[in-house]
Order: sequence, then C-alpha cells, then structure tokens
Amino acid sequence: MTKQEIRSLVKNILPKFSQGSEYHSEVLDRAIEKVISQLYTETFLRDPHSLQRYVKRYGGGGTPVAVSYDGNATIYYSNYPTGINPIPIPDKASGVRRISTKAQTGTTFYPMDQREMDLIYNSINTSSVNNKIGYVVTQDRIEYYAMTAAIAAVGVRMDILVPFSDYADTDQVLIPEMPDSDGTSFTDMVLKILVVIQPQETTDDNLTPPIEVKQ
Amino acid sequence: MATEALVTINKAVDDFLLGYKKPTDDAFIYLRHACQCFQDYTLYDGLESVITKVTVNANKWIDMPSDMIGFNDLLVLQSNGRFWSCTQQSDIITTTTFTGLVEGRDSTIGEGAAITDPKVDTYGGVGGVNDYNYSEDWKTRRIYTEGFGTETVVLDYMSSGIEATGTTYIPVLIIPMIDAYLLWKETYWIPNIAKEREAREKDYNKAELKIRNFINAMSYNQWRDLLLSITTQTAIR
Repeated sequence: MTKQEIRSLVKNILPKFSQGSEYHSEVLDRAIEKVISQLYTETFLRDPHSLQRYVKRYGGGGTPVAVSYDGNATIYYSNYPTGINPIPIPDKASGVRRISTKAQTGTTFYPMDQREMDLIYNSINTSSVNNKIGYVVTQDRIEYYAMTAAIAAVGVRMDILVPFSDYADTDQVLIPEMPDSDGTSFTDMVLKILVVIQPQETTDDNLTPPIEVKQ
Repeated sequence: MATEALVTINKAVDDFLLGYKKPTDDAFIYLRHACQCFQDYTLYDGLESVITKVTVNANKWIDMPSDMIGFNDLLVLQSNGRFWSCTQQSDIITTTTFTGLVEGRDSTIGEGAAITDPKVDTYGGVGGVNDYNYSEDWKTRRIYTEGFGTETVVLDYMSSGIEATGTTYIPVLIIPMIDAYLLWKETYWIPNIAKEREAREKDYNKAELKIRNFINAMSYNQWRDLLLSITTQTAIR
C-alpha cells in the first residue's frame, strides 16, 4: 500500500466522532510511524537478515548517492538523502541496511562502529586488505573507511529503512505483517496508540469573517 | 576449466559469512582473524615460501625483507643450473663498529673476517667444509654472511603472507581450515556460544591436520625417486 492508502485505512477504521472532530493527519502519521518502527525492530530481533525486505533504495536508476570528502576529518562521507532520517535499528548498520557501488562489483561495504573504525587504522593486517569498505552510520551522515577515490567519484547505492513520515504520499510502504505475542496486528497497534488521544476540532474557523454590510 | 586455485582473502571471508548465515556486522572482525589464520598457516604448515634475489653489501650482511617472518635458506647462484645452499654458522661475528656516524666492520677484532676452516686433507681430515656461511640476527633483521663478496644471492624465506600494497591471495585448500578457525574464534566475542569453544578448537585442529597431512604426504613419484636414488638396479630375473 502507498503511504496515503495506509493513512486512509487507519482513518476509516477509527471510531467516528462528532462533525468536525478528527485526528490531524500528522498525528495519524506519527502513530503509524511508531508502530511500523516497532515492527521493524521486532522483525530484526527475530531474523536480522529479513529486514532487507522493507527498505527503500536510493541511488539506483543512474543517479547514485554522492560521496564527498571531508578535508578536516580526512574521511569520505555521504549525507542522507534529502529529508530522510533512517530508523535506528540495534546493530551497526542501523537504518542503512546496505550500501553498494553504483555498478555491482566485487568491492563490498560492511557496517562498522566508530570504535572499530578508530582501531582498524592501527590493525596489523586487516587494514592492508583492500576491496572491503566500511561504513559508520552516524546521527547526521554516513562515514566511510577505506573508500577509494574512484568509487567516491561515481557515488553509491544505499538501502534505507525510512520512517513512515519521511515517505512521499504516493510511495509504497512495506510493513511486516506480523502480529505480536498477543495476536495484535498492525492496525490494532495503531488504534491502541490513538485511542488515548482525543480527536480535535479541525475545522478551520480562524479565517477573518466576512464584513457584514448593512443595507 | 574448474574454479581458481587461489582466491582473495576477502572472498574467503565473504564465503564464510554466506555459508554460515552470519551478519555482516562483524565482517571486519572475521577478516582480522582470517588474516591471522592465514599467517599461521604460512608459518607453520604452508610451503609458500618467497624466493628472491638479494645483495650482500660491502659489510657482508643482507637486510631482511620487511615481510620476512621465517628463514628457510640462503642460496648461491651457480652456473650449473642448481642452487648451492649455505651453512648456518651461529658463531659468525655479527657485531659492528661505528666510525663517527658510519657503521662498519672492524676486521682487526674479527668483524667480517673470513672463517678459518679446519680443513685438512691428510691423516685426521674432517672432510669437506662449505665455503658459504651465514648467521641470522633477528634483532637487527640482518643475515651476516661469510664467504661472499658483494654479490647477488638468493634468499628463501617465509613471508607474513598479507600483501601490504596489493591483493592477498590464499589457496582454496585452506578454506575449510579458515572456516573452522573463524567458528572457533567467534566464541571469544559471542557470549552465548562460549561453551562451544573447546569443541570448535578441536574442529579447527582436525581441519589443520588434514591440510598438513596433504601437504607433507609424499606422492608415489617422490617415493619412487627416493628409492631409486638409494638403490642400485640390477637385472631382474
């Protein structure tokens, strides 16, 4: 389903309130986002490899994600695609599940943490092995270990777990259809969050009233 | 044509991650241990020594290559198509003398002096003595020589195995051993499999022994040539 279809589904199964009283779509999006993020984490805990099925790919179709060089830190990095802040998952890849060269090659990217990146520069043998690029997912960007100038010049592809609110309305959103231990499904979980939030009167009545002209 | 006999160490690690359904999270840690395993194999089991030409300098020593971790042989180039092996003499004088800032050999105290052989060819003779000798000095990473001028000789040595500037290749026959090694070593950082450490170490030892036997076992042809070289053939009736 697309983002707007999911939002519409949730909106239509909510209890009906009096005329003009409804949930703002931003509230709906955040509730849906919270549940989907939880489902992603549960999926990861059951089988980390299966999380790959719910990502969105960036940098494909001939427009790779740019790799830049930070001259001060002397490291290569990529910014997240505009408007995207990946869902944090409790492993090193976090919400950036995969990075690859623009064209599929033998050069592979592996997630690492900041500690490993610091230590590997002083490793005895590991740092001498080429064709293995590390990436560290940080709060504001992705930093690379052993990135080559040739790959950086072309750019990369990346698969990201995108938060629901960062999708465009027409984007397909993949949700793990996985009831929790109580048998509660996705929509039940969203409703459970929304049931404690009272809908608001959303009629836009702040407009300047028309001037009454007396005849 | 079958697949390559040599693969990159990267491929070995990727193949392990694929085969044992491991997360890529620890790829660099596995790579680190795979390098260690290959280095152990190179030093203790493998026959992949490096044979390279080196030059004896005016002070009669050879600087060890930076990747040299084990010594096999020092060989003289002969015109008959065969190497001539040198003899280790642990009592060759290996000290040096500085004249100002210049390091050299002071022959007045025996440094760099020729060995006087107890070579006699009369009653009580001790037989042939090798004219070419060497002594290793691992602290200074030098091989002191005797019997040479400043000439080119051949050094046969064990390398660290990991290429510092190029791609590291490993023989495919050691892949099962690397797999077993990684499965053993991961018990040190994955807490819930720590109790399997001993069993996995045994698996690794078995995999290593299998390779060691394969490498060191003599073939039929080698046995045949050995037997023929020490026997005299006579007519068979």
